[in-house]
Amino acid sequence: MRKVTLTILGAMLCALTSAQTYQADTSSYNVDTLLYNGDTDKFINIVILSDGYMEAELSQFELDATHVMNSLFSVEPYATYQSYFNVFIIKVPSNESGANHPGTLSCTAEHPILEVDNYFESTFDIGYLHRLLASPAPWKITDVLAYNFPVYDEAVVLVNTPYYGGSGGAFATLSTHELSGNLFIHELAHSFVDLKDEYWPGEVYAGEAANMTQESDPEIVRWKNWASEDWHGVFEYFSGAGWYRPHNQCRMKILSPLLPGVPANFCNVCREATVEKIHSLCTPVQEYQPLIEDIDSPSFPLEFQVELIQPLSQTLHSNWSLNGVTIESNTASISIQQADLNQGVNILTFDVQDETDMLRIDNHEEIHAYEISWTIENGETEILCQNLNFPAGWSIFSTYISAENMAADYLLNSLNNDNNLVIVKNHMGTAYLPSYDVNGIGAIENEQGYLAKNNFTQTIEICGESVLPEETPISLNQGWGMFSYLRFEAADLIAVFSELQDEIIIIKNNVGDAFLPDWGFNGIGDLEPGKGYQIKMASPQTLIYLANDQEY
Amino acid sequence: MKIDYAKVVIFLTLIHSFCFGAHLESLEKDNYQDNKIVFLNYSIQKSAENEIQVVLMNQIIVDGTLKQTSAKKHLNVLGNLKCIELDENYREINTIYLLNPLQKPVEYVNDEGLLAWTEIAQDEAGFSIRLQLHENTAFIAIEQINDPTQQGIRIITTKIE
Repeated sequence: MRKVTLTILGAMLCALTSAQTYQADTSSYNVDTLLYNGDTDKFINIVILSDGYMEAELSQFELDATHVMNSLFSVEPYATYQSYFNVFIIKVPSNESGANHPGTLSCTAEHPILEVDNYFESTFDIGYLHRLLASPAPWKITDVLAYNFPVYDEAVVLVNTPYYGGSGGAFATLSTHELSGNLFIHELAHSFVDLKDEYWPGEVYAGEAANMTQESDPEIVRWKNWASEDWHGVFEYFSGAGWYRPHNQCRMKILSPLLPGVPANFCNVCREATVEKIHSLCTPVQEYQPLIEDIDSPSFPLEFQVELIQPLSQTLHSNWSLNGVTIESNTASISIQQADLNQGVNILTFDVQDETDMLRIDNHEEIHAYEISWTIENGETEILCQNLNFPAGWSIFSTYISAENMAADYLLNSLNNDNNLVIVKNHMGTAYLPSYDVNGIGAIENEQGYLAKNNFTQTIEICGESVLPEETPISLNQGWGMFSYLRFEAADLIAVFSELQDEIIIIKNNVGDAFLPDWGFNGIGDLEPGKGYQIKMASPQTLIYLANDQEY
Repeated sequence: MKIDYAKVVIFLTLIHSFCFGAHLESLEKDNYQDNKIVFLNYSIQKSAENEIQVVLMNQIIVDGTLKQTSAKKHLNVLGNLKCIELDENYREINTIYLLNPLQKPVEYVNDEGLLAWTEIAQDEAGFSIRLQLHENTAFIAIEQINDPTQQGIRIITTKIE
């Protein structure tokens, strides 16, 4: 790999010297819309910032940015999934037009030396590489984005210079040269989809990714479902590289088409990864009604509506199911009569899948099944009771009952007879101290475990509705925490945590028994109703129990 | 005698922590603050003795919700930086990893019109961080990674305000 000592960023060095006294530009610039499909909090937002455009040239910036946008949406899969994107421009005027070109290389014949007072200080020749065009002042880009469009998903700087150049990184940079759009699309694939290069980038940039692997077996390589089709396969970057790519002419390898008139495309593997990324950021469900998902006192007919974001290919397939039985398909709304419902709790589910032929991931219907569920109470709610046993000394408890009043001092009131309950603590260390009538905990949460100390053993009964374990996700934070057990019956701890096991450091119960996955040791056995557990996680994860009618 | 209940609670909580709950010291909620994003600009400088100095240029807190947060664990390698969210008691809440800004890899188009990577080595650079703030984030610490399995060398701690 080539290492270059950067000596030409004089402007940056000067700016950094005065970092202590740096004053951010808090200006509001004109933010215009090039493409709007929906709310910025739901749709994917690409933001293009201007550099080297003087005030009078900002209308040209809009045209140039539109050209960049059109370039992107002429390429699959962006063309098909354009409806998932918004594109905005931030019109940041510069004092002078163009980009800096220090001319430190032998490139001045076709590209004159230029010193330009442009806003983001975009310059060619960075690192003595002529076409490496970038801003040496990323903090200026950050400030403009923070004050003008903080929720961007991808940001790119478009520089008003006709010379070919650009770069990747946190903020891709490109010139108005006709070939720069290709560079932008390539860089977007890195920053947006985490795709790797399919030319050999060097050992330090190699790594496992959707389109790069050390697995050479075509039967098990992650893109095996595309093997042997449209020139896909398992291709070593070079003999002896030990790294493999799925195609030889993908946009992640080449910028320009090999044959005149034949545009470079993303290979099927990169397309698939891009579609997956688009869906992970922007679910196909744009809106739904009613927003309340627990309908306790329904008036009939009940009307339900869902608005989908259909890709150009119209490949979304949807189903309405009532209590597990499909009742409608590919309709945006449904009407439910009381006669359609069972007595008690009913579950109405809307699920949607993208059946595009760009996706061939195994079990995709399980990985990316987008679902909305409504719980409809028909008739009286079933009230259940749970016995919670508090041994003398310290214990950890939890409950699957959602009582009308969950305040710790109310719920555990019966433990206060004869001053039995000494203290209850939550995972933050906040305490309920009955003898001092201090409840720092507030309400007992079903997702949490709680430490309690009692003077003698006592069992209490808690009554209310039971929470649905499959609809009660439990956040397991990095470091220490406590969690509840929400099922009616005990379940094997290892089975419950089978998918999270790699992230668990230790789980402990109230008597100090431990589950240590690294040691393959489970001293706890089963998780039990009414009990709470301490856990130490290597990274934040979410635990969702199976429904009570399912078994581990 | 008038009892100061607040002091009693604090005292009992401390006693209890020492006796039973010391291992709970790093407990934190993983909740995010309501729609708060922080932007931090830093400058980083390497001395002739290869010592790293980081200076906060500015911080900006705005309303908004980010769609994704990635720890970028693959960047947990020698020479890169750790950005750690800390609560008011300096307990770790969340960690993300950053490329070493002084050795910045950049992809570009070479003179043959082909894509290539280079690493730009600098003695001084700027870098920016954008984070969805967690509920209890009080400080942001930057550490240099000398051993990916160990705690890094803390270079700067910024109070979020």
